[in-house]
Amino acid sequence: MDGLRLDITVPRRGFSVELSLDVAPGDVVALVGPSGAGKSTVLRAIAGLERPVRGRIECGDTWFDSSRRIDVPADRRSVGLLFQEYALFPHLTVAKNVAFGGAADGLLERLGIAHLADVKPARLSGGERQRVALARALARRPRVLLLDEPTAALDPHTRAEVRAQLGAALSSSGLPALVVTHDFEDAATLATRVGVIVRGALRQLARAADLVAAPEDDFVARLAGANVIRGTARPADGLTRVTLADGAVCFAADPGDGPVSLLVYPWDVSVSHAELDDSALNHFRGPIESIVPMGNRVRVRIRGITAEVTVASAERLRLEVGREAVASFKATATRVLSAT
Amino acid sequence: MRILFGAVVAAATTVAFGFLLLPVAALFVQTSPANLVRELGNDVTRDALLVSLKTSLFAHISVVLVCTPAAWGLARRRFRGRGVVLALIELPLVLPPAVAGIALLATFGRAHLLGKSFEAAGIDLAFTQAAVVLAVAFVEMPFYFRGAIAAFEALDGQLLDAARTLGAGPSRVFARVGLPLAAAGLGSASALALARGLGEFGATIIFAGSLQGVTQTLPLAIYAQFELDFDSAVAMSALFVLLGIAILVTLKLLSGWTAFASTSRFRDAGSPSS
Repeated sequence: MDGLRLDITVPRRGFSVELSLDVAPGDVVALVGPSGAGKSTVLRAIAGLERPVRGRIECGDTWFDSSRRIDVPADRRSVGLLFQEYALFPHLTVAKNVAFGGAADGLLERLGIAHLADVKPARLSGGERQRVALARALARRPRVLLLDEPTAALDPHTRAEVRAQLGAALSSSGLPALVVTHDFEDAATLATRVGVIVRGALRQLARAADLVAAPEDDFVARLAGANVIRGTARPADGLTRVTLADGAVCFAADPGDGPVSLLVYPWDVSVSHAELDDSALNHFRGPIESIVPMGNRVRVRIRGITAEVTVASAERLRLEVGREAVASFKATATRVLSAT
Repeated sequence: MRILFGAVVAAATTVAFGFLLLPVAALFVQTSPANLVRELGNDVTRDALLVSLKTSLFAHISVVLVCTPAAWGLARRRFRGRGVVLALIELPLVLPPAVAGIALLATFGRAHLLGKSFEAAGIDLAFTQAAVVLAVAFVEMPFYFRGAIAAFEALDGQLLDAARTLGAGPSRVFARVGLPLAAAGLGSASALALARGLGEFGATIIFAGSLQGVTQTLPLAIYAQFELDFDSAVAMSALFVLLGIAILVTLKLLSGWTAFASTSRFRDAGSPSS
C-alpha cells in the first residue's frame, strides 16, 4: 500500500491554498479550520475535481505534476471521496449506488445496510446515508480515503455513533486518509495527526493532544479546545469509570461503555500542589511537563492533561517545569465520546 | 380592500381562462363527432395527418438526438462568450416563421448558399418532405434546446462530481447520472418542442410548399380548406386539438414516470441562465 504525498498550490478567491503533506498508509490526518479556509479545496484537488496551479500529488502513481504536465482525470484516480451531503444518486437504490463504484463484495453486510439494498436514498436517515456513501467509496477500491465534513450533516445524537463507525472503517482499511472538518472532536477521535488550516496555510500539524497542550497561537488554541484522553469505560455507581492506558482511573458523569475518548476543556482543569478535598473526582499527580504562556493565561501540562490557569495563579503557585503538581477536574466537566 | 382584491384576482383568472378556452370550445361546438369521423375519411385530411406525424416525429427525434448532448456540453462548461451563444439559441424564437422560411430558402434553396453544393450532389430539397422536416426542426429546435440546457444546469453538481470520483468517465456520467436526473425537465422541453413543431406553418409553406400527400401538413391543409369549405376546416382544427392534447398528456405522463422523489431539484423547461 502506498502513502499519499502532496505539495500543491490551489488559488481561491482572495488567497491561495498552499499545502505540503505526507500521509502514510493507515495514517489519518485531519484538516481543521474555519469554513472558507480552503480545506475542501485540498480534497477536491486530490480527487482531480479542481486543478492546482502548481505542485505534485502522488499516491502510488503520480496523479498530478505541474512540472511534467501530468494531470490524471478524476475518474482514473482511485480516490474514495465522501461528500459532506453524501451525494447519493437519488434515482438509484442503495445497492446500485454502491455498485456504481465497483463490486459490493459484502460491503453492505459489513456496514449493516444490507437490509436497505432496494431502498432509494430519499427514504434513508442521515446515519444510513453516511454508511451508504462510505460503502460506495470503499467499493471503488480506493488508494486514499478523503472525508469532507463527515458528521456535519448529522444531528448531534447520531454523530457519536457515526464517528465511531467511521473510525473503525478508517483503521480497518489501512489506507492513508484525510478528514476535513471544523469539528475538533471529529479530528481528535478520528485522526492520528491534526493539521490546522487558516486562509489556505497550514498553521500547525501535530497529534491532537500536542495541539491542545501547545497550540502555536490563539487561533489553534481556540480550535483545539479540549483535552482528549483515551480509555475504556465501564458503568459504575451511576457514573462512568474509565481506565486509561497507563492504568489511571477517571470518572465521568456522561454514560459510556467500551472504548471511549474523554474530552476535558483546559479551563475546567485546576492545578494545585496537593490533592484537594473538593468536589473534583479526578486527580492526576505528576511532574509538570510543559508551561506555555498565552496572553494573560498559561497552559500547564501534567501527565498529558492540559490545564489553563491565569498568569497570576501560575505565579502564586510557583509552577515550574519538572515540579510535582496535581491536575483536577470534575466528573461533570468530562465529556464521554465512544471511540474505536 | 381584501374582498375587492380577491374579486379582482378571481375575475382576472376567469377572463384569462375564458379567453384561452372559449375558442377551443367553439371548435367543438361548431362541429360534431360524426363530422370528425367523416373528416378522417377525407383524403386531404388523412394525407395531411400522415405528413404531419411523419415529418414532425422525424424532425423531433433529430432535434432531441442532436440537442441533448449539445445542451449537456453548454450546461456543464463555462467559457468566454457563453452568454452570447445561449442568446443566439433563442434567436429563432423571436423571428416570425415567415422569416425562418425565407432564411431556409436562402440557405438550402437552389442556387443559394448550401443549395449549390446539394444540387451538385444530386440532392434537390425544394418541395420535398425533407424540406418540411428541415423547416419543422429549425422552428422547434430552440424550444427543446434551451429547455434541455436549463434541465442540465439545474442538476446538483456534487452528484456529477461523485460519479467522476467513482470512476465514471464523461460518457458514463452523462448516461447514468445526467440523463436520468434531468429526465423530467427534458420531457417537458420535448413536449413543448413537439407541439410547436406540429403547429408549424409559415416556414413550411414558404420553404416546402403545400403539396397534398407530400408537403401539406395538417396546418397547411386547414389553411387550404378554409378557403374552400369552412366546416371542413373547423373539423380538421378540432382533430388537431385532440392530437395536441394526446401528445401533451403522453409526454407529461412519460416525464412524470421518470421523475424521482424530491431529493434532487428539478426545474421545468425554462430559460437557461446566462
